[in-house]
Amino acid sequence: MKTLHSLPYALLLAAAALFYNAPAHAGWCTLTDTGAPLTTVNPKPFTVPPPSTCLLAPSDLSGYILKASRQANITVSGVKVGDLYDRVYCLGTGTTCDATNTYVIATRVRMAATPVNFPARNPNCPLWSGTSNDCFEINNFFRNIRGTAATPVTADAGYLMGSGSSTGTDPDNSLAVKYVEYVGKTYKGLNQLVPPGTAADRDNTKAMFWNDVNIFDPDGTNSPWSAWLYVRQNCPFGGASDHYTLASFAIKYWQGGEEGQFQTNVQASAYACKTS
Amino acid sequence: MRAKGIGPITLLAGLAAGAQVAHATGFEKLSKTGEDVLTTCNPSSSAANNTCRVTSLPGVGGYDLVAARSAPLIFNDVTIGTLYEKVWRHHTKPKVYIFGTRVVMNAEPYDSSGAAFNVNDLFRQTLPGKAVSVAYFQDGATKALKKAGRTIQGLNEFEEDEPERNNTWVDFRIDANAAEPSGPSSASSPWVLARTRAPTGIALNALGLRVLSSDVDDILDAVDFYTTSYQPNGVPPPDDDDDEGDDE
Repeated sequence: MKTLHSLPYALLLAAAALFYNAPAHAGWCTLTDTGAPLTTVNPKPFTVPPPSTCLLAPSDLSGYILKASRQANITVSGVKVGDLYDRVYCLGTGTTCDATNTYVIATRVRMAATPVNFPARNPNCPLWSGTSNDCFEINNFFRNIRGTAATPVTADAGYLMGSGSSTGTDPDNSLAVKYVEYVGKTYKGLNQLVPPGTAADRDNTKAMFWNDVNIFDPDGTNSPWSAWLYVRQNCPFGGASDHYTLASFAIKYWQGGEEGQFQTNVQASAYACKTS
Repeated sequence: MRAKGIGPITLLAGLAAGAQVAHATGFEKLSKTGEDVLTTCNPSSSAANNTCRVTSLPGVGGYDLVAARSAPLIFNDVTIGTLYEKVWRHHTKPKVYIFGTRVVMNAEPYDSSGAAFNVNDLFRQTLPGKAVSVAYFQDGATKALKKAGRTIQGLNEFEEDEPERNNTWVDFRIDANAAEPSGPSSASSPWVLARTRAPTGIALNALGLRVLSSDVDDILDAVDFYTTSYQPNGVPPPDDDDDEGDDE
């Protein structure tokens, strides 16, 4: 019943995203370095076609080369609940980044559909909690960025909804159903701050993307894929070697309890620009 | 062996252990109804407080060890400690079991804060209709079992004097941390013991043990995870907490 109810809305959003993303795109948005941290992108209820804020088109990534790419499990309580697609791009040609040291850290996730642990309790996803039958939901993504509280480093954010099907398996040809709602330099997410937040919510060492992802969402609209989430910075450190590294706890996923779920903080290794 | 002579609390505990044998009060029955959920054991880890204390495993005679295991505790892809479990069954009352749990933590940072994982509560599952008694065996740990009760709410997870009752879970309030930011550390928890009935035996449950770290200013900064542990067969799933009668 839930799926039947949600499917037309999901298809509508997917179709809308497919047809309207490119014409409306405005390109990168620069995250603020002082005051309230959040930039409003497209909060629920979603505006379709989406506002142009932070909305990218594939052409916005022209000139960038792929420097690193990995796929990693998203693990909660020892249970794989999804896949992370973690990439590093830079401005350059061939395999060489150019002297501008312009790097993009890219994030996309796909939540798992295969039941694990007590499939009778929920056949739509792996169960990861002893006190809940809900599928794991990511409300906020956080990536390490360069900068400190005293000395922030300019960071630009952007997102792509993707292409193809919302139920696809290819990160380069699958469509997010739900839009990015907010972006900003903070380590707080849903139910930890009230957008746009206050100066006390700011953390200039993190880039936050507010994007609701759930394979079987209690809100009635499933979005197994996140958008592609991009943060761009100047990354000058590393000399002749890579200017990025696989860093511990460089990504955080936050389940903020949008529909009453237990608030859960998961951190894992991910690419980040070298900081020295 | 691992802790003798290391710190003053350990020394006190060790010195007191012999004198406590005759005075340890042993298993305490947890309440199954009413608003008073928590039973106080030894919240200040006092060597003179013997409430809930036993001086050996499993703390009472007449039981045989029927299962034992150890497993890494993994959080955020980091091994933060080791879980030890033992289960004993009564000789002549084969439906009565004692479930024993201990954690031994290490100092590996578990998240971007750089801190070591601090276990404030261990929760394990029991049949909600069956009585539960608890005890602890210090076994070299420098901190005792503070409290226990039939709830899934741990330190700082409730605002009233008592947590919400949930007879499917038994909470053991402890304080295990290999590198406390302030004050003495106790990398090992005591052995915490739950005696209860398992009429159809026991099995491993992939999500049967909850580990909570919640000694934080903002409860939204608390973290927890679930891991495999032994439990009685027939524990109801979430939101299916039916009463089944009352006998231990």
